[in-house]
Amino acid sequence: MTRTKKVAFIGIFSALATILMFLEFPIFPQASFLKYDPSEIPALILSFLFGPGTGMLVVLVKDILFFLLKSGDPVGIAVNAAVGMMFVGIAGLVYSQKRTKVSAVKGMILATLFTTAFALGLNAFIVPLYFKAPFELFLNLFAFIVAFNLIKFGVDSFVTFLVYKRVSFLLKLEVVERRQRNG
Amino acid sequence: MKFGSFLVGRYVHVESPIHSLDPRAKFLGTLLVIISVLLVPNLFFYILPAILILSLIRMSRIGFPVYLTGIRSFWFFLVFAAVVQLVSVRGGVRIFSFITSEGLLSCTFVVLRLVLIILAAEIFSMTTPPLLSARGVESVLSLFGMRKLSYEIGMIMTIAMRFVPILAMEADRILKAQIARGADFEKGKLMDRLKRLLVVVIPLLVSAMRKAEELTVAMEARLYTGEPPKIRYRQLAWSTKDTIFLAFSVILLCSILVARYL
Repeated sequence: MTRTKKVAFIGIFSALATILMFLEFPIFPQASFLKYDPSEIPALILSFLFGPGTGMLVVLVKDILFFLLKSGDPVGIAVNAAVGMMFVGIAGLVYSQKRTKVSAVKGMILATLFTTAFALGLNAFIVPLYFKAPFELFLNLFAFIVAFNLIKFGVDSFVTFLVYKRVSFLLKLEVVERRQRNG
Repeated sequence: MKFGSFLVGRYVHVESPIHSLDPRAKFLGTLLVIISVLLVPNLFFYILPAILILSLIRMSRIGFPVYLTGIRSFWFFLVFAAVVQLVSVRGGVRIFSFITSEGLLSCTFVVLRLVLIILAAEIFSMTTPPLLSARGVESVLSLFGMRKLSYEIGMIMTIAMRFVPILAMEADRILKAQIARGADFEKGKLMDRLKRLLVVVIPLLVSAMRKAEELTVAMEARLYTGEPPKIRYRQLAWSTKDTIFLAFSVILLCSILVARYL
């Protein structure tokens, strides 16, 4: 794995993630700022392929690009980046220790739970400060934030699980092909 | 699903003093303005960032209506914040059923804060060409030491920006091809629809990986090593204008800090 290859892959997967981020739809009408988008999936796949750091970079670049292309509220995007990097990082870290199907599932479940807790903490901090809302509002939103994050990262994990094996063989295949071509 | 409407980004090309600012200065300055808006202690002091932001908008020669379209896409977010304030903050004189004067004040406070932040962010993204803003982010990151990493992040952002339209077209093509073969993405239960979406997601990922492989070969053929180059095609030049802009945003932050803590 050369550095160049990493740069090229992260670049193109960030572009893919940015596009997917435009397909956002709110899950709960009551808490409309919680929007689901499938943009963590390419990041998660790359984090499984090349390690947690690359996946986290994809999330970071995707959020910067999304901000530049659509602009608007920078605080929401920063929260999205922090939570996404946490999720992708944990899942990738667990998988990089032991590259089996079971460990991938374990990593994704662990990441979903941890990230939900992390998102809760972050929201407890952000909601009162940014909306200048009382802490009770956060308590009212508590259930939504938990459910939203579980659904979001659950769906991301499920789709990645379905897709990963069918895509990752390609990388190995092309390495083999090139070796054969080179003799 | 429609791809293609967002390809242009938010950049508006006109000649103006704001457009010609150094992207580094613009990036740092915008960051400082946003931080100062977040720190404003009471309704009165919004006048300082508001004056700065409105005069920047005036100088950018884009026209206020264009900025308003950006805010419009956040209307739900703004209404949500406003309603929360009206319902949760009680006190002062009762005006209309549950609306009180205190609630109204704090509602104005929060909506102003959100609108000013969105405007400040818009000034940056509407007046900076995407590739230059990648350079700006890169050189601001490199202020913190990691020269090589920040160069790589700049490179990644540039690649990603170039490939957003290409991959969006690809996604559109795959989607249409599968519909032509009889795929139906509209009907069925959520689980079924997710599974059916795989016939779009997998080809898209495969195509992205192919492109990444090809790009790797192309970059290696041109001797890309990850080392920052000694000379750049586009030199960033810091001018007095940039210092003035940055000075204004620093003054704004300082005065807000003074207003808040003294």
